Amino acid sequence: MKNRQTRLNLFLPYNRTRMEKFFERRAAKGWVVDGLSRTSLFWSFHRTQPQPLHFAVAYPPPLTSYNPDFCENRLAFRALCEKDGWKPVISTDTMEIFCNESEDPVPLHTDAVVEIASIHRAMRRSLIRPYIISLLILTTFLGIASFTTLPDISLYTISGVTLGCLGMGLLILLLITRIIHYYFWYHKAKKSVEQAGIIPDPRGSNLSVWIISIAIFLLWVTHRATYNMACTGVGYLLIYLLISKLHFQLKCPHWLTGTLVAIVLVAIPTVSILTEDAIFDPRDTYADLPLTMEELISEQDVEPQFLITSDARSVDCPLMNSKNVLVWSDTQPYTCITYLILDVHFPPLYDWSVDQLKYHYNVTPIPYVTPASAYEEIDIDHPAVNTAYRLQEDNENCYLLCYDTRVVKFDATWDITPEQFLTICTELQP
Amino acid sequence: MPRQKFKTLTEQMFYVLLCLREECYGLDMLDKIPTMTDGRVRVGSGTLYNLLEQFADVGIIRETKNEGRRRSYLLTDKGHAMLKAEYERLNAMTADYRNFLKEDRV
Repeated sequence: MKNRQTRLNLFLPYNRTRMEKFFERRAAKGWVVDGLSRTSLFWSFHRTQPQPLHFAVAYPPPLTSYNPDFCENRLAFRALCEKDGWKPVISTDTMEIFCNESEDPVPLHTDAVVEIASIHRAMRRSLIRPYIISLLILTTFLGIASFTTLPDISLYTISGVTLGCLGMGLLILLLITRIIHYYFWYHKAKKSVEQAGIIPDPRGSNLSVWIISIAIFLLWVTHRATYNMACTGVGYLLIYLLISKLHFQLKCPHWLTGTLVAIVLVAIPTVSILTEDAIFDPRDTYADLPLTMEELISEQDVEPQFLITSDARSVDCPLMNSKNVLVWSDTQPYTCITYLILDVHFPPLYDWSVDQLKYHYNVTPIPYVTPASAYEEIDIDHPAVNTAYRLQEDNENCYLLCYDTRVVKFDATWDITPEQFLTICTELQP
Repeated sequence: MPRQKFKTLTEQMFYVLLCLREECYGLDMLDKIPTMTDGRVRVGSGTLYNLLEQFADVGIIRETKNEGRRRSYLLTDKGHAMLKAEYERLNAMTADYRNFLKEDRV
């Protein structure tokens, strides 16, 4: 028979009455709460005889040392509570949960005015402060990502940047919502206390935090797994565990640890996404080019003397490739083809990506500054290509091919033949 | 309009301050207040701790002894003034009540 149980913590930290009722219901079924995980995500229970216990959640003064048993203020607080039969069962920096076996104990809180002030003091310290710090960090990261991506807005379609920005955006939204939710409840509660002397229960639960946390975690894991970087993921996990364990040694207060852990949790995936795969450190992973010059040269009957391949930009290999393939010849003029492959796996971004690539070719010319440029749709008889455009600027031979989930922009330095055009369409199709 | 902090006292605040006209331990106050009020008013231990802390923060009371878990407190001059002001407010209210009842009878 199982003697221990774990349950998700779906309560907002300032929803004391719901927590108390939950513990009392569980105790009546024979499960008494005895712990809260360090991440505040799980309650743990042990089995006892079903009994009508009373529970009370209090928001005591902050801990001055890591261990509540060495904190004088906390001990003085407990001594008062124990006088009325309230025994501490769980102790964190933010709250202390008490249990009382008496049939009709004196409530722990008897004045709503005092209680709302103590809740607000605890929440400002342990909820709002870490949220604001995390919000500042996230906004900075999002700002860096946006600033780096701004020169070429099509970079937003790339998985690393998209995932990073999406994750950061979700977190920012979550934090702002939580802060607004808290202050909305606090002002309503304060008013209610002044008028009626009761504290209303806050609506909602921690479920949104769970869903968004899992979504962000899955985004990150997917991102890691896509690049076969599970080892890096494990490494980060170890760093996180090391930091969360380190505060035992440092004996720093809980709010500082909470803030540090929040920073690490936010910073690690963000930095890893931004630095490893996306913006700052492009990696060359194009072992096999989908289209090589030889395939075109054989049709053009050109004998290459030497072949140079180089990366124009390798931002995020599975979703976006850009390659320059250059061929020099004694007998033929300078021959070069450059192509950019943009795979868009998020359908709503497809039209937007095509528009972004066409946009540059739809500007009004400014004499001596901007040359005439335009794009026009062209007819092409290829089963995989839905639409094709010719992009004209000076004497460029630049084309845009739109497949189902891929957009290809290529530029050749010579007038390509219809046969070469079809070869390109076939070789670069998804 | 939001109430100014400690401008008017709640019942619990009033009795805590009344207790602290003489030096008193927090633990003792839990028994003293029900005795003073014939069991009509009981202050929860969580409320008492928070009240003592908030009163001390704004200088209404001061800590006189700190013996680890046991701490004693005493009203300051500011606290005395506040208690007196609250007493006068309550008196004014009861006087208004009496006057109103007299008018009613007439």
